[in-house]
Amino acid sequence: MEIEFIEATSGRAVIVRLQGQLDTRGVDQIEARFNAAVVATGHDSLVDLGGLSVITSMGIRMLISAAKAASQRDKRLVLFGAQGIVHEALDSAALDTLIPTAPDQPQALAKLAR
Amino acid sequence: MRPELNSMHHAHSSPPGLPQLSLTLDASAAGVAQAQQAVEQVLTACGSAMGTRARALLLIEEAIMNVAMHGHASGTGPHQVQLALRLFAESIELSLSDDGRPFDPCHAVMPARPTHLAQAQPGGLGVQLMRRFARDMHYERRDGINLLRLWLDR
Repeated sequence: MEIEFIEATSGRAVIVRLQGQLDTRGVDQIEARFNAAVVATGHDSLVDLGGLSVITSMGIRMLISAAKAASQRDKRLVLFGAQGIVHEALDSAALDTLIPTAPDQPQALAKLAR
Repeated sequence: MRPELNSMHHAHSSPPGLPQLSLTLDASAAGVAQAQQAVEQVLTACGSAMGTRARALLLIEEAIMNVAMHGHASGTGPHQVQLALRLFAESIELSLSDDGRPFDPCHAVMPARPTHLAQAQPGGLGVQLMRRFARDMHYERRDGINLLRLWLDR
């Protein structure tokens, strides 16, 4: 399954929607675009993981790396919408202690507003 | 010398109704993709649920990429792994063998989890995910070969 990358905006935040498998090949396909969207634009970002069927350690690593780079520019990245095995994988990595997460987009936006 | 297989084949040494898969793959992202495609075909044909297939695909990637990234000294590739899949009534067994460095993912000590984003460093996540998503794992090393077996519920 190919990874898909959809970019939108909500107010001053960039929303990136990922669909497919965020595994080694998926990361290779989208990492540059992902970093351009969530780091280089200078905006806060929301990342919609609801369309992912799988996330592997390489995918989690990509998210952490982007969140660190955004943080160094004083920008925030919030993840939302993870389901099923994706949610389990993020939970296994305790990712919510490193990157803010939310169950859905409205709650993710609320986290940015704080 | 372990037997080399040049192409995918279905072995029929198991009882009828329990298809096997046996592949020789590059320990690389391309090898992962090849393995995932073949495993997905088998599991779909056997009526496995999407969640089960997703777990299998994740375990395959983590196991093969672990060998690709850590199993050999850099610049000595490409290396190969052998992947086998067996189906039982209640479980799926994935077996991965390679001639890389000894590494027991069942008992390796994992780095402490970071509590802040700034502390986060790469490494260890793959093994963590294998331990989370495999119902059971077994490692042994014999005659210079690592053999890792992973089981997940069917």
